[in-house]
Amino acid sequence: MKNTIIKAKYLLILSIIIFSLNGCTKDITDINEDPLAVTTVPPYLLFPEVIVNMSSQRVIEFAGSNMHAQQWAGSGGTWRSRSRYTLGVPSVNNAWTNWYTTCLKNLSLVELLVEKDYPDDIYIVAQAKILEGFIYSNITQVWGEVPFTQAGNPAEYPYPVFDSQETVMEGIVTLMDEAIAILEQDVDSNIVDDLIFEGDKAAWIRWANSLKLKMLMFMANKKPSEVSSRLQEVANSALIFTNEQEAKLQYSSEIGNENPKYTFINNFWGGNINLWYAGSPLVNLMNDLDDPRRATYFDQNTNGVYVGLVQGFTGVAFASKINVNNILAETPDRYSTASETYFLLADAAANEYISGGLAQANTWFLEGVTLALDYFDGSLGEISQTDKDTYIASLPDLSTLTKEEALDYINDQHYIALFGNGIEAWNLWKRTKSVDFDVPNLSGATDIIRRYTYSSNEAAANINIPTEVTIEDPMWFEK
Amino acid sequence: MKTRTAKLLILFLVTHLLSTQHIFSQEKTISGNVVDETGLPATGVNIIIKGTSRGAQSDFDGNYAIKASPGQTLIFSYLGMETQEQVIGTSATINITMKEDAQSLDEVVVTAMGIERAEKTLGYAVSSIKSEDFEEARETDVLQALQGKLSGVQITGGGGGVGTSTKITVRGLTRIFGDNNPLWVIDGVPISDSNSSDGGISGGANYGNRAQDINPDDIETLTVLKGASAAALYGSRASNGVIVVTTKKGKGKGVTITYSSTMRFDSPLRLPDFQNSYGPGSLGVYSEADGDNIKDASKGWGPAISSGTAYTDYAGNLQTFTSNPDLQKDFYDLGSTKVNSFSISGTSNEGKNNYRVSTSYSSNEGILPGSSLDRLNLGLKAGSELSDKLNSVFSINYINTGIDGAVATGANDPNILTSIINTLPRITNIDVFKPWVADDGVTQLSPVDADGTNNPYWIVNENQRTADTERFFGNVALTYSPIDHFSMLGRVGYDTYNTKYFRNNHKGTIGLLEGNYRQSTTSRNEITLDYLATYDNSFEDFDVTLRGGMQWNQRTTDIIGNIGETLTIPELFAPGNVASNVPFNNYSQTRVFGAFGDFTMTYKKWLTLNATARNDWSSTLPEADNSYFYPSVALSFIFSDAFNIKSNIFSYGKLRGNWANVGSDTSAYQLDYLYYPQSSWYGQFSTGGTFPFDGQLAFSGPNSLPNSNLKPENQLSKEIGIELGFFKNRFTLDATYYKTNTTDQIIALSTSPSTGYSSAWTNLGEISNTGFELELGIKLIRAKGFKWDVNYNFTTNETIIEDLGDLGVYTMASTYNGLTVAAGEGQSIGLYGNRFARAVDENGDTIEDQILVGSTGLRYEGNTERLGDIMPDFTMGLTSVFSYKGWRLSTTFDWKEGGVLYSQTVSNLRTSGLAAETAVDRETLFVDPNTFVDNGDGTYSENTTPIPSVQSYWSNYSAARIHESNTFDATYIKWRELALSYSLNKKQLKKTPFSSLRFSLQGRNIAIFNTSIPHIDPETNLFGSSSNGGGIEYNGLPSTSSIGFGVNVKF
Repeated sequence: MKNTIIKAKYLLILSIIIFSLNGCTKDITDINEDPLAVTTVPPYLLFPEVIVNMSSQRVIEFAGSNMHAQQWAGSGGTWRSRSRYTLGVPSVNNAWTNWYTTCLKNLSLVELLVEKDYPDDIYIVAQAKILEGFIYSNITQVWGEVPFTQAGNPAEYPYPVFDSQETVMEGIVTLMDEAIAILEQDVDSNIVDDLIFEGDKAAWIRWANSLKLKMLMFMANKKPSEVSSRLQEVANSALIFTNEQEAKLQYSSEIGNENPKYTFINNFWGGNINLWYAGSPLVNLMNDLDDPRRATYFDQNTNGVYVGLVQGFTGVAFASKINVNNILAETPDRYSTASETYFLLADAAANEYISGGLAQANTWFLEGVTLALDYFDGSLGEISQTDKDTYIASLPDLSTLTKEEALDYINDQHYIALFGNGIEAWNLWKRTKSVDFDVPNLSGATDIIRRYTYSSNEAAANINIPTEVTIEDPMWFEK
Repeated sequence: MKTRTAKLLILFLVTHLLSTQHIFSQEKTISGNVVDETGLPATGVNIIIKGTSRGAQSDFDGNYAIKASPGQTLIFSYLGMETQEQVIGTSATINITMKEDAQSLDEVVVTAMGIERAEKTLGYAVSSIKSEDFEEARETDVLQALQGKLSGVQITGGGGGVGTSTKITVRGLTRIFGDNNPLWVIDGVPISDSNSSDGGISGGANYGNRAQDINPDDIETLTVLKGASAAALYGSRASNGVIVVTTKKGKGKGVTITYSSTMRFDSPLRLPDFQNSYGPGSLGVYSEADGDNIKDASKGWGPAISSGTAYTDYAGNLQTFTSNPDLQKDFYDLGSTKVNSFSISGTSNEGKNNYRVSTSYSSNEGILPGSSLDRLNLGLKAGSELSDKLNSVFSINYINTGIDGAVATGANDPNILTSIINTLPRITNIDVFKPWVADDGVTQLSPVDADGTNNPYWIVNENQRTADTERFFGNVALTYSPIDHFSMLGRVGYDTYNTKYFRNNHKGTIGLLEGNYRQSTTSRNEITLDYLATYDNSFEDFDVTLRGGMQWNQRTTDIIGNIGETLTIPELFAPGNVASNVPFNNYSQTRVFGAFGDFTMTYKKWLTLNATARNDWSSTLPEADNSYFYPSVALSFIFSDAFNIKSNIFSYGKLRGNWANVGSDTSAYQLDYLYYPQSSWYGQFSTGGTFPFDGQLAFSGPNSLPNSNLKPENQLSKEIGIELGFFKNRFTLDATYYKTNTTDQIIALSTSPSTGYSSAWTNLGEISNTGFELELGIKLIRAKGFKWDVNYNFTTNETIIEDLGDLGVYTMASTYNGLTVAAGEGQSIGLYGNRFARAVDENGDTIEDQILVGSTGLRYEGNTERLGDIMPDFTMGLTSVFSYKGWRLSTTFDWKEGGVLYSQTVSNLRTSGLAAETAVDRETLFVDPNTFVDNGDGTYSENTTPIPSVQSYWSNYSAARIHESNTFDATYIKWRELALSYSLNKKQLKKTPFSSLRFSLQGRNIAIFNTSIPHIDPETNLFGSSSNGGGIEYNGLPSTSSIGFGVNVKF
C-alpha cells in the first residue's frame, strides 16, 4: 500500500514535468525582448549622445591636432608621438568610428523618428542637419575625401564610396541651406532644448550661416569665381557676430561633465601641465607682435620670457608650458566663434570674393581682433583694457597695405585666435599657409601633416577605400 | 516559470527524503567474493542483475551481496576487466575471478542525456579520463589535469595568474564569431563554463572559467564527446563537442571515508633571460649632470654596470650602478597550492540506497604578491531504489570561490604589472619600491615614472581586483519502469551562480590620481527539464532501443554594477563617497525547447545502427525561422566478431562511421531595432564622463545593425574511425578521420563604420574543419608484479575558412597597433600584423628574402600581412605509468607543434636593451645581413651601411609596431606532470584503522623544451577562454611550475 502511494506521488511529479515541458513551448517566442531597451524614443533624447561624443573626439582624441597646428608641442610619451606624426591606430579608428556610428547614425535616426512619430516637429530635423554638416566639416578637415553621399545607408550602400572634398563641402552647404529653409518657416514645431543653444532658433540659423561661410571660404581657395556670389549672400545674412552668440559645448565643474582635457591632466598630472609645451611658430609670431595673450596662453619660462618648442624636440628646459588656465573643468569646446566670422569675412573682402575691399576688410579685421581679446573677459586669462588698446593700436590699417600683406595680418590674427582649437587652426594653416611650420624632428616626414590615414576598421570592411594615401598629401582645398 | 521550477525542486527534495522506507520483496540474498587473477580482492566491481537497473558493488575485501531471484543473471563488470555473467541457481554464493581485459573494450560510456552505452556499440569517437588521473597530481582546475591526455582537444592555459582561465576547444574552431567552447554536462545536466574576465586588451583581468568549480575529487569519469553525432541529442550547444562528467556515488558495503591532502609550491616556470651587464641610459651614457634621470632614461642602453656610474634611485637616494640579477625573482613570491578533500560514501539497505558527501578546500597563493584563490566545494549525491520500478538520484553541489589580486594584462591601464617588472633597469634593487605609500595613505612613494608609471608594490598592494563566486548546481532525477523493457526518466537540473567583482584604483594611482572603483555582480542561472522514455528489448539476434524525449532549457544572465569616480575618503568604496556614480545593467534570457528521438539496433552484438533526430525551437530566432530539425546516423561494425578472424596476434577490429547535422541559434535580442539609454560617454585616456550632461539624458541607437531575418546556423559532420586490438588487446589503436562544415553562421559582421554601424547581424560563410586523431594504448610489461603502460595520442586539425561572402578577411579579435586575429577566405585562422618592408619584383610581388633598409641601415615598416596560423599543426601527448607492487610512477608530456605567437614581452625586453641578446657585442656596428636598399627606380642593391648603434638596431627591430619580428613559432614540449606514489599493502595496514594509504610526490609543468620563442612560456592566451582570439601574449604573468607531495587515506 505504502509502495503504491509513493509510486503515485512520483507519477504525479513526472506528469508535472511533462506538463511543464508542454506548457513552456508557448513561452519560447515572446521572451526575446530586451527589458533594458525600447523600440522607439522621442528624437530629442538622441541629441546629447551626439553632441557630447562629438566634442569628446574633438577635445581629447584630437588633442594632438594642436601639435599639428604647431600651437602646442608634446615633449614626451604619446604627446611627443603626436608631434612626430605617430598617430596610433586607436585614435584614427576611434574618431572615425565615433563620428560615423555614434554621431551621424543617431542624427539620421532623429530624422527617421521625426518622420515616423513626430511629423510636425520639422525644426528638430533642421537642428539634426546643422549638426550633421558640422560633423562632416570636421571629418573632411581631418581626412579629406570621405564617404558622404552614400554614408549611413547600409541596406543600399554597404560599401560607401569616398566622395571628393568638394562634394562633401558642397554637401555641407546644401545641408545648411535645407536647415535654414526649414527654420525660417513659421510653423508650430517643437525644437530641441539642446546643449548648444538651448533651443534658440535664431542662434541655430546664425550657426548654419557661419558654417556655410567657412565651407565657402575653403572652396573659394579653389574656385573663387564660382563661390563669390554665394559668399556675398552669406556675408549679408545673420552670422555669429558676438562672443555670446558663439556655438560651443559648455563643459562644467559638475563631476562627469568636465572638459576631457581637464580630466586627463587631473588623472595623470595631478591637475598640472607636464608634457604640453608652447609650439614655436605661434610663440614666435606672438612675440613679434608683443601679443598680450601670451600670458593667457602660456607660462613664462625660467628666464621670464616665452619660448616655443620646435615639434619633435625634447630639450624643454627653456621652453614655455601651456598655461593651465586654458584647461579648466568648464573650458568649452568652441565650434564656431564670432572672431572667426570676422576674420573669414575680412579674408573674403581682402581677396575680393566679396565687396568692400581692404577698407571693409580692415573694419572686420579689427572687429575680429577685438572679439578675440574680449573673449577672455571675466576669465582667469582676462586682458586689461590698456593692453587691448595698445595692441589694437599697434596693428596697421590694412587698407594701407598690399592685399598679400593684409591677408597675412588677417590670417595671423585668425591663427592666434584659434588657440586651443587644434582642428580649425591646423586647417586654417592648410588653407592660408600664413605661418611657417617646421617639419618635426625625428618624424620621418618630409612635409607638414595634412591629413590622417583612414581608419583600419573602415579599410577592413569597405572595398571602396582609397589606397596609397599618405599623411603628407595636401587637401583638395589647398592652393 | 522560475518559481514553478523552484517549487518543483522543493517537492522533489521533500518526497525524496520521505522515501527511505524499506521496500519489501521476495528475493533471496546472493553473496560472494570477487578476486582478480592474482587472487587479490577486487574492489568496486559492479554487479548488476541483467535486465534491471538494480546493482551492487564489491567492497574493499571483494565481498558483495545482492537480492535476486533464481534464474536471473548477474553481470560482473569493472573497468579494465572482462565482463562476466552468471546465472543464479540454487546456491546463494557466487564467487568470481575477474580477468584483466587488456583493452577496456567493454567500457560503458556515458553519452547524450546521461544514457550509458557500451563503447563497443558506438559509431563515433570518444575520449575518457578516469578518477585516478585527477588524483595523481591534483590540480585545482579540472581542465589543466586533462593536458596531454586526450586526442581531439586543444587545451591552452592562460598564464600564471591565480584562477586564470583554461581554454579548451574540441576539433578546432567551428565558428569565427560566437561561442566555440564545448558544452559541460554533469550527471546529465548542462552547467555553465563561462569565462569571467573583465576586458581583454585594456588591462583586463581573468578570473577563470566556471568549469573550475567542479571538484576533481568528485569525478568518476570525464568523457569528451567530440563530434556532432555524439552530441546530436544535446541540441545546438553540443556542436562544439560535449564534456560529460559523471560524479562518484556511494558504493560498496558499509561506509567509506576518504581523505586526501596535497601541498605544492609554485614558482615561475620561465623568467626572461636578462642581460646583467648594462645599466640605464642611452648609447652607453648615463649622466645626471646632463639631465638624465632614472625615470625617463632608456632602461638598458647605458654604460656598463661595472663602471659604477652614480645615479639617483627611484626613492631619491644617491647610488652607484650595481647589478641585481635576481630582481624579478625577488619580486615574485613562492606560490603554494594546498588541497584538502574529504568524503564519506556508502550504501544502505543492501545497496538500494547510496550516498556520497564530499568536501574539498583548495587554497592557492599566487606568485604575485597578495594574489590568492580560495575555493570550498561541498557535494552531496544520493540515490535510492524506491522499488523494483522506481529509482531516484539526487545531487547538489555548493561552490564558493574567492580570487584576490588577479593581475591586469594588456595595455592602457595603470595596473599592467608585468611590463613594469620586466623593464626595470638591471641595477634596480626591488626593495627601493618599499615603502610604496606615504604616511598620509594617498601619496605614492618611489613611482617608476611620476608622469605615467606606478610603483609595482603600489599596484599589488593598493589596487585590488577580486572576484567572489557562490554557486549551486545539482539535479533530481526519477526513473520509473512500469513494465519490463520500458522506463521513463524525469529530471530537473539547476545551475546558478553569483559573482561579485570588485576593482579599485587607490587615490594616488598615476593615471587615476583621484581614485575610482568598479563593483558588479553577475547572476546567471540555467534550468533544464528533461523527460525521456526508453523502450529496450531483444528479438533473437537483434537488440533494439528506442528513445523519445523532450528538453526545456532556460538561461538567464543579469549583470548589475556601478563605477564610482573620484574618492573622498581614500579607502571607502561606497557610492556616497565618490563624486560620480555610473551604474550599469545588462540582462539576457534565452529559451530552447527540444523534442528528440533515438533509435539503436544491434545485430548479433557486432553491428549497431544508431539514428537520432531532434527539433529545437529557440527564443533567439525570428518566429518564422525559430524551429530547426537535425538528424544523425552512426554505424558500428565489429568485423573481428562478424568474420570471426581473431588470432593470438589480432584480437579486435571495429569500423565506425557517422553523419550528423546540428542546427544552432544565437544570443538574445539581435532581431529588433532598439534604442538604449546611455549612462556614460567615451573619452580617450579614460577621460570619458557621464550622462545626464547638463541635466540632459542620452539615448542611442544600436552599434550593431539587427536583422529580423536571421536563420539557424548549420553544421554538418562526417566521421570514420577504426579500432584495432592486437596481442590480446595489449596493443590497441583507435584512429578517426573527420570533416565538419559549418554554414550560415550567425555573425555580427564588421561593416564600414561609414554605414553608421560597426557591425551588422547576418548569416554568412562556411568553415570547414578536417582532422585526424589517433590514440594508442600499449601495455608494454605485464610480469611478476611489474606493469608498464604507455598511452599516446595525436591530434591534427585544419580549419579552413571556405567562404566569407563578399569579405576577404574577417577580424575576430584585435589589439593595439593593428595586430589582429583574423579569418581570411581560403585560409585558416591567422595572426595579421605589420611586417618589414620588402623588395617587390616587376610584377609587384613581394620578394620574401629581400628585406629593405633605409638610409640609416635600419629596417622599416612595410605592409600589414598574414604572420601565420594561430592554431598548431598538430598536438600530441604521451603518458607512461609504471607500477610495481605498491609503487607507481606516472608521467605525462605534451607537444604542440606549429602556430605562431606574438610576444609584447619580448618586444619590451629587446627595445629596452634588457634582453640578454641585446648585450652581445654592443660596440660592433654590423651591417644587417641580407638586407637591401631601394634605389628608387625599381631596382635594389645590397645594403652596405652599418647600423648606427646596437641600441637603434634593437629599438627599431623589435618595436611593437613591427609585429613580424616579435612573432615566433609557438612550438613547445611540456613535461606536464610527474607523480611517484606508494600505496601501503593490506599487510602493512593491518594494524592501522586505514583500508588504504598512499603517499605521493608530484610535480606539474616541470619543464619546457623545444621552444623557439625566447623569454616566455608560449602557452598563454591574452583573450581568455571565451574569446576566439589566440596567438598573442601581451604582458602576461609568467606561468608556474609546481612540486609537492600528497597523501590519500581511506577508512
